[in-house]
Amino acid sequence: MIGQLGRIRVAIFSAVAVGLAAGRPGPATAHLVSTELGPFYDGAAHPLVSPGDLLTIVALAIVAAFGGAAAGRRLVVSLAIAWTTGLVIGFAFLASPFDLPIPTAVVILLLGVAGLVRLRVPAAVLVPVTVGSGLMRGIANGAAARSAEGSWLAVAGVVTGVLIVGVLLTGGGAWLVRRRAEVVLRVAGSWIAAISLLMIGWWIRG
Amino acid sequence: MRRRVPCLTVLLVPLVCAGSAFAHGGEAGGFVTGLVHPVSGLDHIAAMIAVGLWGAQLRQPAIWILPVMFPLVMALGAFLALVDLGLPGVEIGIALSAVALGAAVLLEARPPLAVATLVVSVFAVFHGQAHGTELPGDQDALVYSMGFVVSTGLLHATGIALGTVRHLAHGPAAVRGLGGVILAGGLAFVWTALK
Repeated sequence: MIGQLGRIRVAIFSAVAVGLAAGRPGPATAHLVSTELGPFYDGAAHPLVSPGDLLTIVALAIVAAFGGAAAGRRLVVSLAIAWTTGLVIGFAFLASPFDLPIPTAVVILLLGVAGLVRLRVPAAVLVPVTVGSGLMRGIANGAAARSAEGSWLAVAGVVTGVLIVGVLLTGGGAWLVRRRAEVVLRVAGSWIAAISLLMIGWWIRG
Repeated sequence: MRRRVPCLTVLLVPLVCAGSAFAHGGEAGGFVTGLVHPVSGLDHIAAMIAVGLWGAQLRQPAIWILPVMFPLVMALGAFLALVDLGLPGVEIGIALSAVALGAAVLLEARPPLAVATLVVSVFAVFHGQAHGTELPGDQDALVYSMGFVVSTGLLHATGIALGTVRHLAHGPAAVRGLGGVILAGGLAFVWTALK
């Protein structure tokens, strides 16, 4: 039995849901030129549509999950700061695209294996790895944005995207650990390790 | 729980109603190519489903360890092939994997976990050797690899899901029957590979 406040809450939520459904949006294209916020949304979506960026964040989140909520918070903060720093460096100073696919793949491979074996990586190791990874990916993103004649709005979008994705993934990882569903993280770690091993092989083959 | 339902509804409705968003169509194509590749051969499908079936028969922790080791060691096999460390008789090895894993399911073999993991891993190397070098020229390697590994994992999950029928009446016999089908298929694959 819900009280009056509960009924009001249900009514409000239902109205919002109906309103969203009724105002059914049409197809969403990736570049919202007309709103002039397109570059920001491009940047914000970038961590999700860039496989290298996404795998980096996922791998770090998996390892942080086994270290508890404190490790997750450290990860989000250090990753955001490092990625932002890298973005600024890449966007402001690098004239051509820059990427380090093999160091990225090696780090992701090691993180994936660490996740598979449920290794509790100490903060003294995880934070520097996070900072290094964030810097690498940030510089790559910033240089790519500059090469594509992007704007600082896009850079701001990427920072926002990394922050949001990082929070969601570390939160999800911590939730799974609390629910004793660590096997999901271990399976994900193994898949990530396998993907990065293939990547390294393809790069060596050329 | 009652309070969470309206919140979840609000979150889900926009997802259902939103139109299509196409951010990066090219990379999606590479992912799909990788996703489709492991299902391009019956011998691969049979072996990967057999891993899931066998894991389901062996229960915890094999039910997740075997399907975890297979993609990982398969990737190692692919890596070795990519750096020109190929093994001989790859097609025979793949065919034999269907025979061995099918037989394991049919006979409900229950070796120690380490032995089961080793068996799965040995055969996974052959599968990786066969598949790992087949990257279409116009596809992104990373995205292709992601699709490839995810597809392999999903095939194992299919085998595990099929293996859960062992909880039903006549379920264990049905699972063993599936193992027999895979074994028969494996023998056919060996025959084809030897011809």
